[in-house]
Amino acid sequence: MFKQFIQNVPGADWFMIGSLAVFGLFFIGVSVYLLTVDQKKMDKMAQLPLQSSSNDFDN
Amino acid sequence: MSTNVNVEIQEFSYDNRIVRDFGLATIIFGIIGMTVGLWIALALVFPSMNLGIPYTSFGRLRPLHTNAVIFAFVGNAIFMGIYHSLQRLCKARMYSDTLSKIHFWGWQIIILAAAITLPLGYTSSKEYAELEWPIDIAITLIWVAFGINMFGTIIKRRERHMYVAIWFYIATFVTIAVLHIVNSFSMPVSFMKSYSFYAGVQDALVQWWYGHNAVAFFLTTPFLGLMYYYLPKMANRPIYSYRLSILHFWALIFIYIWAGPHHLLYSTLPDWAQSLGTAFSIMLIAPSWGGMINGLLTLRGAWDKVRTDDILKFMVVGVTAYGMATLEGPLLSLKNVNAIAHFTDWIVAHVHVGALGWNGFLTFAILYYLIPRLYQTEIFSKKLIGIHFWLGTLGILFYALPMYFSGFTQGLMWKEFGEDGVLKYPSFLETSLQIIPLHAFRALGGLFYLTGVILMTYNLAKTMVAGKLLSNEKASAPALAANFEPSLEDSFWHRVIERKPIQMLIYSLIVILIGTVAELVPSFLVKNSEASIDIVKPYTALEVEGRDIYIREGCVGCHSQLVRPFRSETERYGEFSKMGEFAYDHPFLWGSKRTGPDLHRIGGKYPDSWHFHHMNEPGSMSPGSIMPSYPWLVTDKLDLSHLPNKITALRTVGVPYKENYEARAEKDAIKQANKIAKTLKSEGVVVEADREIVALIAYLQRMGTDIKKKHNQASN
Repeated sequence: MFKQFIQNVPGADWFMIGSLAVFGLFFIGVSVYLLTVDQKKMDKMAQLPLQSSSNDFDN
Repeated sequence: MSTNVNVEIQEFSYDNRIVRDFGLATIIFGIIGMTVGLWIALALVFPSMNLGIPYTSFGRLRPLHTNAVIFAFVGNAIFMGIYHSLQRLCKARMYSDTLSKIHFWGWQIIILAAAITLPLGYTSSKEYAELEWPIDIAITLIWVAFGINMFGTIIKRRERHMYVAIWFYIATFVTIAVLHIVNSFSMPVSFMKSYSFYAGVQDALVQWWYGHNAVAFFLTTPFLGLMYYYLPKMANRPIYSYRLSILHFWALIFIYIWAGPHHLLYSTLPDWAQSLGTAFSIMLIAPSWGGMINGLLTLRGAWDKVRTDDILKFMVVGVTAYGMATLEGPLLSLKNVNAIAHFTDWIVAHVHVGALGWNGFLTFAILYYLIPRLYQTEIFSKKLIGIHFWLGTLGILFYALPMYFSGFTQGLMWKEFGEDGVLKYPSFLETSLQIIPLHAFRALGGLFYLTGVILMTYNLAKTMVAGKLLSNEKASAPALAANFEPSLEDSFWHRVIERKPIQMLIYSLIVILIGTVAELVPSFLVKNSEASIDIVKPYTALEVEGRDIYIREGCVGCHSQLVRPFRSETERYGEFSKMGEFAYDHPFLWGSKRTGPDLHRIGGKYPDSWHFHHMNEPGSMSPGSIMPSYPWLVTDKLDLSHLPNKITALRTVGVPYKENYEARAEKDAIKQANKIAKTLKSEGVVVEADREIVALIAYLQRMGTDIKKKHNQASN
């Protein structure tokens, strides 16, 4: 009685495989971007929270 | 306004008052939410603490506790942190002070509405989404006000780059909006009553897509944003790896949205959807631990500070608790682990490691960091922070460890068979009584934790009194050049995503919609004929009323309605549950916890009089039972005035009631009630037919019986 209703949805298997493939491609894309991005930019971005304005009490 | 040679320096001020207001609300609702939690924890040890009145019974107070700590305590903490950090990261005041005020007061009014309506029994019964439709609409409007204010601030910013914390805030905004709107679709019956648009397995899938991702995008992503801002500030060093934070962000929001079905393992949800949920849950370990490691490694070379700085201690334990909870969650989604852990106190322990450790400790650290700065003074007592830290840590341990043992005990006792091949503990009550001492220890842990929060409140109140709120904090920053020429280091992707908030919103939306569509759409494509069973008929008019009483009293908080396909469950409860049996359940009532036994096959198991006595005084039928008594059901008259609207609403969402049935529904209900009252009388119970208990008995006796009719027909 545990009917696998995936069998009743035409193309649902491709639906899932396609979604997983999208994730794989997405993940690879983000990784490639991060491996090629300029380190100086990364360092600059990482410093943003530490940039204090004149009236910030963190000085 | 002053200028230098090339750049115009603009002067402006940060709105600190709104940060303070959200901070105060965090503290107040933290105490209230945790006190209610402690109260209901004690009610599981001392049932008399239900007080014998409707408004304080466990079933009604439990959603009050969860809503108060999630949306009031944690929610206000999120807004406190975002309003503070966003202004600084954008080098701009919030877009609109009016919107800030509308957001603040609107959110508090929603919380107040929840605090009033939940004890009154107005609930949709869907976990973490219990509030009824008018409040859902109010939440949507206030959320939109928050979004406009946030995006307005980002757009008028004076810092060209959007730090990764802002990405997490944007993902939080867009995903919570999608989750809330989709899960809240319902058909109103009256001002404070509605039926879920979805039914049965579809409702379960939508609900746990929502429920899981409410944890992800309300309790996790905004706090990760706060971690990425406040941890570097507190440690006075940049985040360990900005690259890792970007990977963390995209991988986390992509994967999280798929994992909801792990809440429905061994249910009637199709197996492929369960497996998909499990696979993505395991994949979640990678980005989650990437985030935790990134947080902890930020403190490399600064661990000496952790030894002496109690605020950093809160952060370290909080981030570690995040790591523990996000490892445990995927492990719990493995089917073999879930078979034992699901419906037990193990899940309660897991949830509270995240809530008390991750959300609670990060909130405390941020409060200790912010309040002295907002009030331009030193903290009143550093020693009290240390005491709070250790009380909180002990509180988590005293809470979580007994709940783990309780969970293991329940899971194993429910499944144990004797040498003779029958259940060793056939009485569910036996397993409940076994864990009462552990529940008492859990309450002690909660008491420790709450005591720490009260000490924090005292400490912060004294700090506020000693200082003076700097409502408008002056700041200055160079204006952004109107015609910006990107440098070589500004890559194409950086320009199209990381600098443009609307694009970031759209890309985040696409990423979360991929998983959403993959999970939800197939279930919506299933034809009704394939998801239903011919013999299963809609509830009678009286059963509809009885079901609404079941929902009102929060029975779903302690009783599941889902017999899983294990021999240990079919021996105890009866035939395992089928998808088609829930085709007309708006909403589904599978539950997520078995403090009491499963009820899906309760129909016909006991005589009507047993249910009457059991609801009126549980101990009379089950000696030692910790279930609250419901004497008001015996005395309160059943209100049938909304019955025609209920039938019409249910028909609108797909229940096949005949045309014009609403016109004779009341008559039908009275007829069935008279029949039950007559049966009760024959069993020695005299009760008027128009009392609520009669409707509830009608529903309880119907539950899970349609399948039995099929068997009876087959055997005849």
